[in-house]
Amino acid sequence: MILSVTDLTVSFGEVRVVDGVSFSVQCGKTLGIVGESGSGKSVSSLAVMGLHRNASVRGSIEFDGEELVGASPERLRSLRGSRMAMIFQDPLSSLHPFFTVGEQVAEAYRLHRRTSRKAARERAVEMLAEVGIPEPRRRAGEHPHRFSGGMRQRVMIAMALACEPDLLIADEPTTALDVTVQAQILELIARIQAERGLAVIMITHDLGVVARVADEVLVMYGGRAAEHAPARTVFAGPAHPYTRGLLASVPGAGLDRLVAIPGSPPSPQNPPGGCRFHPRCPSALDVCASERPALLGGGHKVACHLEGALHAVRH
Amino acid sequence: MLSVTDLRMSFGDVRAVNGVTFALRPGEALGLVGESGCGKSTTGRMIVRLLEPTGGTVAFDGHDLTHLSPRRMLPYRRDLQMIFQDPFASLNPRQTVQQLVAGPRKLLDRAGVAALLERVGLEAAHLDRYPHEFSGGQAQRIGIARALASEPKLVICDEPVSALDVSIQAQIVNLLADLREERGLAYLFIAHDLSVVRHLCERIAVMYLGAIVEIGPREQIYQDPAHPYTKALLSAIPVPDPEIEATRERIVLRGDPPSPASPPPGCAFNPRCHQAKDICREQAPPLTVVRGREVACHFPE
Amino acid sequence: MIGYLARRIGAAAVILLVICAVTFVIFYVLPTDPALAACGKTCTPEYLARVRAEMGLDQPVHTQFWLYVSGVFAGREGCGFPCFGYSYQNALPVWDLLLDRLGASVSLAIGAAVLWLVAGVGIGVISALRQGSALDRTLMIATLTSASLPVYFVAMLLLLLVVRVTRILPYPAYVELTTDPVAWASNLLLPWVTLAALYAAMYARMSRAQLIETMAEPYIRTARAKGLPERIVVGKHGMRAAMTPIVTIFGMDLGGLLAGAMITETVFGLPGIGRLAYDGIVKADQPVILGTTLLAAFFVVFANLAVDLLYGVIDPRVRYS
Repeated sequence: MILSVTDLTVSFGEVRVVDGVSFSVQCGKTLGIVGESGSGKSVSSLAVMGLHRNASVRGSIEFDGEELVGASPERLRSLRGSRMAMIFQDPLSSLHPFFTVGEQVAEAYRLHRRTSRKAARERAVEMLAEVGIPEPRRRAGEHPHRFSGGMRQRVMIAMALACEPDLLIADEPTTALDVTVQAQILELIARIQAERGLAVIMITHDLGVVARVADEVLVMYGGRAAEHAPARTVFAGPAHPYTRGLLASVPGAGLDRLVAIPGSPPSPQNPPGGCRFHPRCPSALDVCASERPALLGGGHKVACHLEGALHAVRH
Repeated sequence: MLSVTDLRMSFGDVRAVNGVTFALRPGEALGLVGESGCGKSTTGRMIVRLLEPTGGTVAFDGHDLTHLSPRRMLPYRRDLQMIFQDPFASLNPRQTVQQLVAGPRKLLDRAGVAALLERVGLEAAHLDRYPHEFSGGQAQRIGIARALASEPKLVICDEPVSALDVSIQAQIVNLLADLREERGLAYLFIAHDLSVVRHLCERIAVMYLGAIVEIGPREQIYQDPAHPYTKALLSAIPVPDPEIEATRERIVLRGDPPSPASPPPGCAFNPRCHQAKDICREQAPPLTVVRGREVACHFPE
Repeated sequence: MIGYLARRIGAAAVILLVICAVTFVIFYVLPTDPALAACGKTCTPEYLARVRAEMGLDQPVHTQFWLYVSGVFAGREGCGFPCFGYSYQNALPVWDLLLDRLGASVSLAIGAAVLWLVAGVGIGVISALRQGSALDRTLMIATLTSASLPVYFVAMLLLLLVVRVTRILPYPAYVELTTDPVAWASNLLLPWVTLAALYAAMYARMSRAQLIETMAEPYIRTARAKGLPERIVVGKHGMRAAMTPIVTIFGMDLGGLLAGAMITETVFGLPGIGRLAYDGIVKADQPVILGTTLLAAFFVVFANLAVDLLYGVIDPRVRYS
């Protein structure tokens, strides 16, 4: 396990945006974190990268055997960009408009590896070529706005991988892209993962993307883990009512009428008590409103009072 | 009911829409799909006359709307409505829900607005609130109520669910489907998400760089696509089933979607097409009937 | 790009011409008689008639205007090139007057500019990085106060405290840079601080707002995600973007100041263009008023152009068509 997160809680003042979440990733494998607004999926990954400025982060984040919670900011900074890297949703606003693409790709490499400007420049051109940007040497001297959306995301990937990290966190990397470009980017990430044994966390709201790339799936809702299992198992036999609801409501399943989940995702400021999902759950019991369900199970974990009881009965 | 013939739109030198032709019968739903730069939103806006076409015609109920002045367009706006992608950007933040739905012509009184709100899944209590007080899904419902207040015959839906959470998307799609059945509405549903369109529309038109490349009945397009782009598009959409995803044949296009500012010669798709031949680079293919639908390709599959 | 430049320079010329014309018309409409004002108390009717003829006041207004404009570009006999008219009250051609006074105004403007940039941006950045802290709030209250005080008040306050009460410095008297640099600087110190106090306050508030906004941008998060040290994240990524609008405003402020700061020059007795303009207005010396107005307009118009071009250098997304 290159990354092992246990009982992660992230709070902004009084508001708990992530509430006791655990997950792990292995080298060469992809963990898909699925959730909607308010699920805490992005906040969790920013916590792993140590990018929160004003939040209180509790729990354990173990990266390659080293505990990151409570580590010095300087230590976290030295790991960021060199051993773990992150790419974001909108590549246009995530790249600095005033610096050339080559400069931005070379920057982290030069700083982390302490090389000369020239060596870093060469590395940048090398990385741009690897992510499939044609005429990399020439294009390294251009600014982000001269690239198309898909090319920009490739630049971000080049930037993230310049220092050969062990872990790549991709926060909705294809949400803002056309579907044919999305296919290209997902293929690129898969290829690089296979070549380098990269561990990938893919954060998305798109269940199709999860099905395509994830080996393991963590479904988050209202800052907590709802379900956590290998991808095949989750899709073949979803246990949590939320996961079932999501799968039934995703178009493309071939059904004529979608089965929608009533209500809206909860806001972290004013979450429902007990199980976060109970106001929208078709199988809610009395206990769901008052008591938080524990995440139970071996290979296939679910946080649900009903499912937990059924599981105990079955086994 | 709606007849669009060789519709064109140019912004200066850039040809955003380059000869689009289709028709819509009353109560029918046509899905207009494509990626960024294909001109689908521009087409939608030309039909409701938010833009004036630079070529071709738009005819509604037999009347030519193409170059009508705003004043003469007014009577038709009752029958031709539009729902937009971002409800917060398209609803006036300074107006209450009641003012927004009733509109400047005050089509409905308070009771009428309340009834309409309840039909779209909101409450009468929401009448005096402002858009920013609602969630994305609720705001989109306000947008839908607003469009329905005039009892239109045709509603153009411009990516109405793209900005919403997945669990909310399903609610809105269902709502749109129910409303259509109740009121006999016709939809022109513009989207980049082919899977959403499948649930609502019986006919699909696929656009690429300003032109329709394939148009026909829903199941034919999905089960048996003829145009290489349609095939690639369908293949690119990830399906929420790991077994299928692991084993399906995937067509990954090379290169980026082209920009309308510099269109490729001949067939617009030729630089990315795996079976492009010489003629594709020289001549743009016309729409021909193949297996019950129309395709614009020299070598349909 | 060449087309853009040509159009802008053409537009600038038109603007200057219009300003010239408007000033002319104002004089034409005013009841005062420029010839009488120029001639002074010891005015005989013959001398008055001669002055009037020389100033061309016996001619129709459009001829006067044409004479003036052609004089600027081609010179006039007895006046030299370029000819901005002759100031009888100062007994010098206006052009010579302008050149003579330019030194003081430019010294004042540039010195104050350096001071306010360093102080203003510095305070703004510190405030932005410590947003919400007691230091931030104190600095913002101080800048608001400083920006609200009229220039003459600050000037007089400084004179009182520094010259009269504590006697740290003598009463300022302008010394040219080439004569004695140290004296030049020490005499300009109080005027510099006066002007800088006002501008620094505004620039501090602007810089703070800009930097706060920039630091919230997604590309800053990317910079941090790359593991860059915070000083590079702020100093390189943040400042570069935040300072762009500041640079443009600075250009325009400096341009406006180059043609003289009337109040500051008057209070401190500096022989600058601002004071020249003030005296000219009080004495209704038309050529001087015209000359200083045109010079001020020139600086402002070209500062605007320079700043627009500079923006294109700083922000690679800008395209000139």
